[in-house]
Formats: sequence, C-alpha cells, structure tokens
Amino acid sequence: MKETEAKNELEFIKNVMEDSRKIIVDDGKNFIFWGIIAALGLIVTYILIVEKFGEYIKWVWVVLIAVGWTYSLTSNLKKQKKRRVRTFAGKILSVTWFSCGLTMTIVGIGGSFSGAIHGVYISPTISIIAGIAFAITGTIYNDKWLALLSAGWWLGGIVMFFNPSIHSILMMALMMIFFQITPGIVLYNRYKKELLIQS
Amino acid sequence: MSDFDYQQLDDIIHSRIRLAIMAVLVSVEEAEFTFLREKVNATDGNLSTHLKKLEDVGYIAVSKSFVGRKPLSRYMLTQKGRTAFEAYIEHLEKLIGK
Repeated sequence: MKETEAKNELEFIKNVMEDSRKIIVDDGKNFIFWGIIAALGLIVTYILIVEKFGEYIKWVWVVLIAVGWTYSLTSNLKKQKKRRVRTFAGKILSVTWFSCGLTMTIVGIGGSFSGAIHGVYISPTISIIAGIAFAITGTIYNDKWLALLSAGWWLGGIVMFFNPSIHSILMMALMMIFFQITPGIVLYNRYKKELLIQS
Repeated sequence: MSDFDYQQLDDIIHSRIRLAIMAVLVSVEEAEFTFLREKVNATDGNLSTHLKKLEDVGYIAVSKSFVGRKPLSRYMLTQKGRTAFEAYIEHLEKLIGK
C-alpha cells in the first residue's frame, strides 16, 4: 500500500465515521410534551392559589407527573424497539434527561410532600436543573442556541430565588413556553426536515 | 517509513466494505442492518457476506430480535474488533508518517 492510498483510506474512514455520528436528531416530542405538562401544572397551581384551594396543588402535580412519566417511558420504549441505530451521544442524552427529570420529580414531589422545600422555591430549583440538561443537550447537538437556553434557565432560577412570590409561578410557566415548548417545536421541525431528506 | 510492513495490515478489515462497516460501528454503539446498508451503500447479499466474515473472526457481534413480525438484526463492535480497528488505523498512520 502506498502513502497516498493510506491517506485516502484514512480520509474514507474519517468521512464514514463523521457521517455515522451525524444521525442524532431528536424529534422534540418529549420537550413539547413535558413543556405543556409543566406549563399547565403551573397555571393550575396559580389559579388554585388565587382561588384559595392550595391544598390540592400537590395532587395536581402527582397526577401530571405520573402522566408525563408514563408517556415518556412508553414512547421511549417504543422508539428503542424501532430504532435503527444507537449512538453514544444518544445514550448520554437519554441518561442526562432521565437523571434531570428524576431529580426534578424528587425535588417537586419529595420536596413539597416532606415540607423540606417551600413551594415557592421549587420552580427556581427545577429551573437550574433544566439549565444543566439544556447545556449538555446543546453541546452534544452542537447547537449554540440550545446550549444558550441554559443561561435563560439559570438566570430565571436566580430571579425566582431572589423574588419568591406567586408571580414566579407565572414566570416559570412563560419559561416553559419559550425555553421548553418552543425549542421542542424547532427540534420537531428539524426532525421532519431530516426525515424528508433521508426518504 | 521503511520499517512499515504492509503485511501487518489486517486482511479482514482491508476491504472497502468491511472497513466501512467497522468505521460505522466504531462511531455508534449499535446499528441495525438497514442502517449499515445505507451507510455502506451495499446490496443485502453483499453486506450479509461481509458481516458474516467480521462476525466469524469475532470483530462484530449480532443480536437478533423481532418488532412485530419483522426481524431486526443489530450489529455492534466487539472489544477484539475495536482493538483490530485501532491497530489498522495505527498502521495506516505509520505508513503516512504521522
């Protein structure tokens, strides 16, 4: 084998590897679904506080989070069965979102039922955890805008920590719409485009 | 470069299709048959033959399952395959004097 052939061979290997690594495209459905669940929960929480039915808040969240996890686990199981390829990056993303989601659930449900975390501090805590997940996701997808959303989550968390009031619930609902549902829609559109290109 | 021995190149990997299969599998954790077919751009029969060769020497492993009635074959690189691939790359790099 000559030097030029070896160079071509290495170039070929590099191209194949890069092409194979490109295929991590999330359909964004989980982003959208969890964003809707959380925004809905926050709006209901706000209404229940205003209408002085605060004792039902915990149970509303128990139901919503149970629905969310059921959807996430079943849809991911279906995806796993059908998936054509499993990448290391995809695995890291799954673990990241599962761990962050579980941490959020423990903070939200465990924190409020035990009384260890005052209700008004649950949103900022969840917000900073979401920041971690977005920073990792954006970095793996090589999407600056997605990684930058983490700054939004962290800043929002700081604002809510320093301004603990009923209004922080509405602020968190808005963050869910703009920092969770909207990027989910962007990812979904990109996924659809990618499918069109592949077919 | 004079100490480079071309015979050290692994004959199993030193085939365009098998090299492509190995390169795909080294980049992902596991890949389904149709995914490999697309990436390697081979026919079903040709791909099956090369996959079998790689499987026989223990460079790749396969897991077979069903989704409904549809059979699914997922391929992954073994540790032996990874080591062989790395050695192959090393040899190529030596050849170009990297």
